[in-house]
Amino acid sequence: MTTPGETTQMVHEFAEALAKVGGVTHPVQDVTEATQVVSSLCEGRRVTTHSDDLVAAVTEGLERTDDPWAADVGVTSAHAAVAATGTLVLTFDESRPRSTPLVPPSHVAVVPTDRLVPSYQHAMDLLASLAASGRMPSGVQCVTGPSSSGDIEMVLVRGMHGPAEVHVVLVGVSSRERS
Amino acid sequence: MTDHSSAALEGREHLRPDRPDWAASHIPAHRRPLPLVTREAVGRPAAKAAAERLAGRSADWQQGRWPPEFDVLRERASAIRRETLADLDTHLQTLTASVERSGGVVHRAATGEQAADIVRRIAAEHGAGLVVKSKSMVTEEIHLNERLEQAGMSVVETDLGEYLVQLGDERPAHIIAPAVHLSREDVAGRFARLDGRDPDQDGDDDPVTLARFARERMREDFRRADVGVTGVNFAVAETGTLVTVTNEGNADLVTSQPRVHIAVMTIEKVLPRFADLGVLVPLLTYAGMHQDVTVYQTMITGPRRTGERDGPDELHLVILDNGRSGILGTRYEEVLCCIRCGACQTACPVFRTLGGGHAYASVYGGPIGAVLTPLLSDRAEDRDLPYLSSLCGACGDVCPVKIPLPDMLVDLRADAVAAATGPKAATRRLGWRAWATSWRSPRVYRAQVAAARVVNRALPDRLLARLPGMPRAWARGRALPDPGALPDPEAPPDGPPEREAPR
Repeated sequence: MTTPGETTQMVHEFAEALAKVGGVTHPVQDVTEATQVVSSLCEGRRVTTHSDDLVAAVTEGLERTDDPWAADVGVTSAHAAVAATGTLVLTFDESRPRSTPLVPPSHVAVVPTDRLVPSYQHAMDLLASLAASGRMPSGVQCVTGPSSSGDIEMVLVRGMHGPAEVHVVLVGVSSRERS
Repeated sequence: MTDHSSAALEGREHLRPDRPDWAASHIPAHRRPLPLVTREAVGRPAAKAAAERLAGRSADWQQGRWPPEFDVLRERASAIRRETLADLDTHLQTLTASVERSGGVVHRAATGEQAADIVRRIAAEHGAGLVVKSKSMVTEEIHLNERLEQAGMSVVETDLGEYLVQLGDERPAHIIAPAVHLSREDVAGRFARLDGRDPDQDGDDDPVTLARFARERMREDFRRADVGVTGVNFAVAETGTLVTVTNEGNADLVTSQPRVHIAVMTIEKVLPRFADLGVLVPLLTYAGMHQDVTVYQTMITGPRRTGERDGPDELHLVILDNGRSGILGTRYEEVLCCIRCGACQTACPVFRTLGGGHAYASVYGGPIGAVLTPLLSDRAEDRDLPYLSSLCGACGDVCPVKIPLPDMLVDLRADAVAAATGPKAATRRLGWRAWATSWRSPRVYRAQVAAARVVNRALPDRLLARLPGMPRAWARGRALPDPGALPDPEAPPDGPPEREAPR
């Protein structure tokens, strides 16, 4: 079991690691606050979303499309998030298409803090245990920040084929823990 | 058959390859002697710029020293890779069963030609006109693009660096930095030609603008392609999961949009357990790019399942041997531990000075290429490749899975000498044997060193510069030894250093 102190520590680590690769973390207290953040990130933009309860709640009232190629933002919820590296582990199934976090130029993930794991190895162990119980998804994407390329003169360019913008809304962080 | 045309390759006919023949995507059956190729390579201005870029990447390597957390991963990865090779057949059988259980189709190919043909056949059966690819060295090895294009298909490399070398009809110059030999001006020039603009007119050569140009051109192709082809960084035996590691996100698009996904791997890419990814992925990305982890790891277990809105209807895995099982059980077996991070290339001073891997005139350049190519190739001239090394040992220091590349380079040179035939090789062998025999006698050794001292004092300093022909080329940059520095004729020849008596 993870203690509240360890979770706070992981929230900070995650935000720091994600910032290092050009992503933005938004720690929020609860679903109400998450909805406000997601609304302001998606204002005036068309969203395509994964169909799960949390994502449905935070994207209520936004302009939607089922076509990821016509969307400006893809909103997902991750299976796990790695504190040490800022990595999101996204699993795909009938209600979670692969295109949602991939095709639109911006990706917003809403992740409860109890899905944080300390290290990349922990995330792989988690997926291994899914496989062991016969629940390995057909597609998994581990993603750390915006897509990038260093193929021209080894200069880092953010926003290659995948999204140029990655926002992670961490739900369950009290205002006291944020400082 | 669907529309063949690729938006990304539109205007390709305006491009004229400006690379030397030894950099061409099509590797000819024979190449000129290495010294001639390397002299030409080193003399190109582009080589110097590429060397500087690679040296910059290499400078932050702590040569021979790994950060403690990665040192631990390196130990574990080395053990995992060797353990896998020890029982490769079993792991491949497990992998095959797992992929089939998840709904994929597994094909085995003994040769590159067979592998390319399997891919062509699957693509043709689906009436494919447009094929999108994510970066893969094995598809270079089997010359897949050529084969598919001959069958009338359009093939688009979607990794930015691979796209750039595809436009120039070149091979990748580095395993993970295919276009490291190109400047931003080169890239801007290629894009201007594609676009029908004048390449000599000052255009925007900001890498951000150039990357966006490639992104926009490829988006339509991702959507319209019939078949997606990828390599495999790791194939997990116990789950049948195929893992591809990228930064650009192109592997995700290639494996999610087209109706058919064909993955190509060589036999040694298999990993026993899913949890092993926790060791190998961070190690691969740190060794290759100094990233804690790359942006994307794409993990595919079978085709799309009932009710899923995207992902391929069919997943095919082609497992290629191409001479590798012949390396198993030999003293070179550990070369199959390689995870293709490219660190040995970046660290190699010879590779850098050559401006990348083109001058090796083979699919794989650098230390890993100089070892792997002669082991896999039938070309007699590839036995020279181990000589493209100063034996400084940097490749061994940076190898994340501890392949003893420097030792292998030496052993392969010995093999090349042993395999050499003809009067020239016989004379050379005779000469070395005579030298070895003469120095075995202390009396003859002393006499020779004393004579060398006398001769050396008598020779003019500029003698080396006056040598004719080939010897002069050899002598460039060399000096005659200082007579005082010659070994003491009384000292035993190269004997073991005197050791302190054990206490």
